[in-house]
Amino acid sequence: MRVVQFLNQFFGGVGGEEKAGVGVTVQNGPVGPGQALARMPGVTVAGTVIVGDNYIGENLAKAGAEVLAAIRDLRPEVVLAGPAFNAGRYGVACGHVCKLVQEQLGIPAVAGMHEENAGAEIYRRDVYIVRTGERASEMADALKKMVALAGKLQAEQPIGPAAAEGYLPRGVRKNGLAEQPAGVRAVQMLLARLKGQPFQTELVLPPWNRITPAVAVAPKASRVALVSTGGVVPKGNPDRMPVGRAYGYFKYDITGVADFTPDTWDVHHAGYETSYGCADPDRILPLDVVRTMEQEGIIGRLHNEFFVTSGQGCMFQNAVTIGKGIAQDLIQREVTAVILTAT
Amino acid sequence: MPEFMKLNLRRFPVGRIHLGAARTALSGDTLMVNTAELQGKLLADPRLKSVSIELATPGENCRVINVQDAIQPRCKAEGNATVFPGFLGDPPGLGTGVTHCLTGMAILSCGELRAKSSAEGPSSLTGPRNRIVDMSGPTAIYSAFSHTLNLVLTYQQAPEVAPQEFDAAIRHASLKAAEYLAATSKGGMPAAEEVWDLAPAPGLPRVAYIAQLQNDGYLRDTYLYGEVITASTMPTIIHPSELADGALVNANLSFAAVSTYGWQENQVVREMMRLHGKELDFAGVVLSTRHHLTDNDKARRAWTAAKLASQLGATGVVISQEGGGNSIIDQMLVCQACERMGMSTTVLTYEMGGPQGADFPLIYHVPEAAAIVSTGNREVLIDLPPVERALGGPRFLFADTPASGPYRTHVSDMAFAIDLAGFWRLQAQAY
Repeated sequence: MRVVQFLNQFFGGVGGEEKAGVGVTVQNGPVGPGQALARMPGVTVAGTVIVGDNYIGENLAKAGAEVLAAIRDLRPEVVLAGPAFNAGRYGVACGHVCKLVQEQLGIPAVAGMHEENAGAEIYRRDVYIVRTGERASEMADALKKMVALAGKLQAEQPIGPAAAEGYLPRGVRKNGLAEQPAGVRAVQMLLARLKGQPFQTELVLPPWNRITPAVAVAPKASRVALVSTGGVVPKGNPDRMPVGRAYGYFKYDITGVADFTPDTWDVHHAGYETSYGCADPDRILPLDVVRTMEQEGIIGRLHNEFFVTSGQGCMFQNAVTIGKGIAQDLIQREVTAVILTAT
Repeated sequence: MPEFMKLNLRRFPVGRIHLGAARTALSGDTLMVNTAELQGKLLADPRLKSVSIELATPGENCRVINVQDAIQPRCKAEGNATVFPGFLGDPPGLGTGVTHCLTGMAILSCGELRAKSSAEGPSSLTGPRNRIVDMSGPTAIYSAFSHTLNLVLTYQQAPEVAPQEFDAAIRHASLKAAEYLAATSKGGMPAAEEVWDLAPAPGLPRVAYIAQLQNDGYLRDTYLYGEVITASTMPTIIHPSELADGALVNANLSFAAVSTYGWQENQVVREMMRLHGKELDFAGVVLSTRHHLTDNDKARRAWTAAKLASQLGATGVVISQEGGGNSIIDQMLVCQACERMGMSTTVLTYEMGGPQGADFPLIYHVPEAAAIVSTGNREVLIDLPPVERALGGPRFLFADTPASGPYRTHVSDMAFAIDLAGFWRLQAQAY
C-alpha cells in the first residue's frame, strides 16, 4: 500500500505553535510518526505533506488545494491524515484534506482523531475517522487502525460496524444479526450495570433541547390557524399525503367551510384507528367548534387555510423541519396563534 | 416463591417432520403426523372450512405469508393441568409439574385475516398486515422462524363467518394442534431437562423483567390466561413458569408483536432463569400495558409497573414493549420511574431510523435510558427474491403481487423480525 501522510507543523518536525503559519512543504518518504507507518508490513510511505495549523485553518480552500496538488504529485494509493488526537485545528485540517482527496483523487483517505475534536463533528459523516484517545502516546495504536481501515477501503472490502472497525460513527445505522438474541444481551447488559462493570449501550441518545413557549396572546385579538398531525385531508387524499413517516406537510383552503363533513373530507393516518375520524373529521380537527368561536367573537379571525400532516412514526429531525416550515408559512400569513391537534 | 411454582421443562428436539403418516408419533427426533387426523381435530370448529398442512424447512426455497402466529408445541406431561389456559383448559396447575416442549420446530398459523369493518382501510392502525417468513436467501435473516422446522397450517374460513370469529377460530385450532403434537413426546426420553425453581438466592443482584403488552383491540391484542388485555388491565405480576406454559397468547398482527412462541421461549426470561442462583436472583415478571391516552394515565401506569418491580425487591429491571411509537413513550416512562425508585434499567427497543438508517431512531427517550438494546431498524427497504414455493396465501396484502415474489417491502413486514421482547438476533449498529 503506497501511502502519503498528512501532518501538521508539530508532528512534521517543523516546530511548535510559533510555526503554525508555515505553508505547505513536502518531504519524500516518512517523517516523524510516518517512521512507524513505514515499518508496517506492506506499507510504503511515498511522501509526507506538512502544513501549519493556522496556514490551512485561515484559508481552507486555498491551502486545501495546495495540499491536494502536493498529494497528487506523490501518486499515493491511500492518504492517511493525522492522527490529530484532540488538536482541533489539526483535526479540522485532516478532515478537510481527506474529503478533498476522496472527491478529487477518488482514492481512500482515512483520518484519526478523538471524538471530541472539532474536526470529528464536521467531517465524520463524509470521512472515515479512526477513533483515538487524546494523547500522542497512543500514536502506534492509532496508526495501526488507520492502516487496517485504509487497507480494507483500498481492497473494496465491506466495512463493518463503527465499534468493530474502530472508526467514529458516520450517522448511519444498519441491520445485522448479533451473536445472541436481544433478550439475552439485555440481561447481560443489566448485570454489567448492576455489578458496576463497563457496558456499551447499543443506542447512544443525544440530550433533548428545551423549547421556550411563545408568550400567550389574547384570543379575541388573534388571527388563529388550525394545524393538525391527525391526517385530515380532502376526500380521496388527492395530494397523496402519506399515512405516516412524514417528510412534509400540506395546506388546504377552508374559506366558507363551517365544518368537516365526510363527503368532502377524510382522515389518513397509520397510527390510530381512523373510522371515527372518517365519520366526522371535526373529531380530529374541530373546525366546527372554532368557527362558532369565531362567530361569537371568542377568537379574532380563523385563518382560511389549515395545515396538516400525519404524525405517525415521524422522525425527530423531520418533525423539526415540518414545524419550522409551517411556522414560516404562518408568519408570512400574519397568523398570531395556533390550535394544534395531535393523535 | 412457593414450591408449587416449580416447573420441569423437558426438551424434545425435532429434526424431521414426516407428513401423511399412519399414526401421529415422535420417534427419536422424527415427528410423524397423521395429517388427516389432525385436520379432523382442527375442523371440528364449524367456523373453519379447511386447513392445509405443509412443511417449510430451513434453507428451502420457500416463503410463508399471512403468518398469524408462531407457536411451539407444548403439553403438560401428566395430570389435569393444560398449557394455554383459557383456551385449552383452566389455569390451576399452570407453571408447575412437568411440561414437554418440541424444540427446533414451530407451528406457523396462517390465514387471510380481515379488518372488522370495511370502513377501516390500510391507512389505519389496526388493520391486517403482511407477516412473511423467507426460509432461505438473504432475507432469511429477518425472522427467527427461517431457522425452525415449520409445520404450516393455512386455514380457510367457512362462509358468513365474521372476521373476528375466523381469527379466534384459527388461534384456537393452532393452540390445539400445538398440544396434540407435543403429546407425542409423552413417555419419551427428553434430550434435556430444565428445572425452573426460583429458590432464594441471597447475596445476588435481584432482577425483574417488565413486559409491556399490546392491547389495541382486534388484530392488536394479547391474551393473558385466555382473557384479552385491555387498557383497564392493571399491571400485574406473573411467575416465569407460567409464561413457559402459555399464559400469554399473541393475537397481534402488528410488526411490533411478540409471537406466542416468543412468550413461551422468551429470551429475557430464559436467560434470567439460566443465571438464577448463579449470577442473579430472578424476582419475577411484571406485565404491563401501554399506549395510554393521557399524560396522567401514562404516568400512573408507568409508576404502577415500576412499583411492582420494586415490590418484588428488584434492584435492576429489563423492560421490553410491544407496539408502535406511542408505546415507546410508555416504555421510557417506565424506565424513568424505575430509575427514580433506585432500580437500574436496560431497555429493549426497535428503531425507526428511516430507510437509510440515517434518521434518529427513537421518537421519544428519557435521560435515564442509558442502557439500550436494539432489535433492529424496521424501516429498511428489502427486496424479497422470487421463490419456488409460497405457503399461507396467494398474494401479499395491499399489492397485487403473488406471494412467490419478487417483492420490495420494509423489514417490518417480516415475521417477528424486530420482536421487541428480544427473541431474535436482529440488531442495528452504528456505521
